[in-house]
Amino acid sequence: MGNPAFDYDSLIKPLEPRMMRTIWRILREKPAAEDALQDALAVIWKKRGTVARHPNPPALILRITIASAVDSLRKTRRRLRHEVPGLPKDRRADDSADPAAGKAEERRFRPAILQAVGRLPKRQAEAVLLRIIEELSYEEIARAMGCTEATARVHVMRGKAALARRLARFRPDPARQPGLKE
Amino acid sequence: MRAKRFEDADLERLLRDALPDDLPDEAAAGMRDRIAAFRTAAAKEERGSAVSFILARKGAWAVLALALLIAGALLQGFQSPSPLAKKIAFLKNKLSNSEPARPADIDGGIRIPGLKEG
Repeated sequence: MGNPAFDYDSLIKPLEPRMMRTIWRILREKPAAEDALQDALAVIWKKRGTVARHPNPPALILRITIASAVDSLRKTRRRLRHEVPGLPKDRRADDSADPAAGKAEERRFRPAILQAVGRLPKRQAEAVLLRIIEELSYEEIARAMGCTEATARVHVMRGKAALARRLARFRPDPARQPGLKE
Repeated sequence: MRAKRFEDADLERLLRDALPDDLPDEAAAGMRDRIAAFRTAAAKEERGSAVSFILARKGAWAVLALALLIAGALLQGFQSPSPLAKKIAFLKNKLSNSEPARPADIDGGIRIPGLKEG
């Protein structure tokens, strides 16, 4: 036993369903999700000493999980850009969809949303997803990311601001109808 | 400020709705298989690492012993002998090169000038 304090059954096992759901929410592709989960587990295993000693192991585990999904998202984005030369970035989603048409329509924006998340700096993407998807507090995000709470807030704020700019066309705001300048 | 708050809430809602928590059973099964495979591999690695740790420790002792032997030999080879060792070596050398003593030398080795022999 390299790290007697690390116990998979007590640290990881209870989080497995959450890890699976989180990765699925971000990637939504079976092979990519499986690979990302495996990568996350490998990282957790490699850092098992750190995870076991961490003041908030579940937050760290979720952060590693999200980081793995974001990595996969960024790789996919690079691959897509490479495979479809000439296709403008962030324009592969169905932009003609009406933003006011409800959740079903919002899911049609998913590729653009995922691409926008993938374009964020890695720490901003992690912080935003920890905040919005996992609904962690800033304190938990800070502990998971190994930074101060103020820095975590800045990462979330900047990430959200960048997403708001990039996804402005999907905002169901009457003042921002297509054709109006942002 | 109100507009900014609305923007944040709007963005969060957009993200949550676009990324719903709806893991399908098929995807969950695939991921569970990966977890099982990972756990098997991790257990194997842990056993392997325990064995390799023991072997590495034995190896380290062997290397240390060899290094000490080499260091000892080198120190002996390069170190200048002590003054006592030098003297002993000198005497040994002298004794081995000197002619054996003859009885005549022992008996009549002392000659007094002016005194006839016999």
